[in-house]
Amino acid sequence: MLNDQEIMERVRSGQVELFDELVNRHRASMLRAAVSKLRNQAVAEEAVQDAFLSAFAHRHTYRSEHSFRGWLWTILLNTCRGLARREFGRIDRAGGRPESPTAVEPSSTGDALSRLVRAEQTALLFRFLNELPEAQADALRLRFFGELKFDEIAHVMNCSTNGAKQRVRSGLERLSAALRRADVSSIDARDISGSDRSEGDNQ
Amino acid sequence: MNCDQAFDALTDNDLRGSHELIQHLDGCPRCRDMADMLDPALDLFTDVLEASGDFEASAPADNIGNEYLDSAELAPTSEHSPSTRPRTTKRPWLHTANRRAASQRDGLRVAAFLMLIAVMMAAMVNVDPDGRNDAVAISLPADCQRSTNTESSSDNVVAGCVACHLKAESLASLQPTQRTHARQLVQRCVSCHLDMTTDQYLAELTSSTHTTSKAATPFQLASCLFGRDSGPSQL
Repeated sequence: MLNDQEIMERVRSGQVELFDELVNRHRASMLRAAVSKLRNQAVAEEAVQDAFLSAFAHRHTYRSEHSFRGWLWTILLNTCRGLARREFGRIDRAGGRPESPTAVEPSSTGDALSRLVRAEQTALLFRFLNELPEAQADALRLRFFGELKFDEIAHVMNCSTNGAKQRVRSGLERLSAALRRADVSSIDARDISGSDRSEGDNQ
Repeated sequence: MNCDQAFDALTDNDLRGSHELIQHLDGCPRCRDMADMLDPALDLFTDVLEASGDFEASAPADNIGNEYLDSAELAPTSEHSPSTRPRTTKRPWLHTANRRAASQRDGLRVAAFLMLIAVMMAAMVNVDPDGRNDAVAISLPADCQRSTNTESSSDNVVAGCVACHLKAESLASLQPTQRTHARQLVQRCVSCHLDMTTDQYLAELTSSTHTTSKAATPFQLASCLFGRDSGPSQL
């Protein structure tokens, strides 16, 4: 089985149909990251499409000594930033608010309740990611959605490998803290509603 | 496994439960504390990634990617041989984006059609105040031709138009839209035959033939010019 770099070399040499395989390998993870970043499923799909188009159109600029994933994800993040400026600028001018993150539809398997839980988890993750500083959120997207190695993340984000690790770690710390706060507040809410109910029952 | 590798494994969904990592965490309180601290976020990522493991797995691989191949044809790609020519059939992997793009294209088509209708209507009513757009498209009715053929100068041609189309008696019997058309017809007359705007023409008439009525309406001017009573004060 060919790795990404080998496929890209063949694409550059004229076997363009092999690019399908690269799309097949990376599209889902890129779409997940784009949705989490752009908060809009349709715009995210446009971003992924544009990223692949751009990668294909500029395939001659890819150098095989570098990671293909790093190169592709760099294109994706740049595309997302451009689209975000365009889309959210348009929304801002219109006086509206961006859409809340659209959860990427999880697996179709499982019962309705588990699907609902997964959709909520996805929405929660995307919401908290958007509350992080962009560098940390992007580092997390690259690490977990893109499954990039830290040196690849460093290359994409133009920082050192240790810097990439630090961004991921800081992002995870903030995310964990936010989740704990959310968990505590939901427990508090349940306690309050439970106590209200019990008071009502007593009365 | 050292602490650096432990962090790599901890943030790698495939290695997070590995035996090596567990062994390291058992013997390294610092990394264990870090793992405990990061657990909520790591668990959430794991859940989300597992939930979407087969995300959009239904897209057939042999059709994936045709969209960019098609678009790439726009750019000069000399290496495209006939055998590797991009396919132009189904593009299921972009179905949502395509629907969105198709919707945008439909919207553009509707907008273009509406703009065409608007342009045609504008041409019919001659939105251009100077009436230059369809200067050669006017075919005068027989009555107008009789009245204008007898006139020798442009001034008199226009005066004939003004007299007939802006005169009080005829305008009073017209519907509002017909009055508008009458006025626009005169605007075209003035524009083509005198090469000036109606306002300029009226100003000139006011100063030369009826110096006391600086704010004269076309009706008053027509009455003034041709000795008729003024009708409605406004068009």
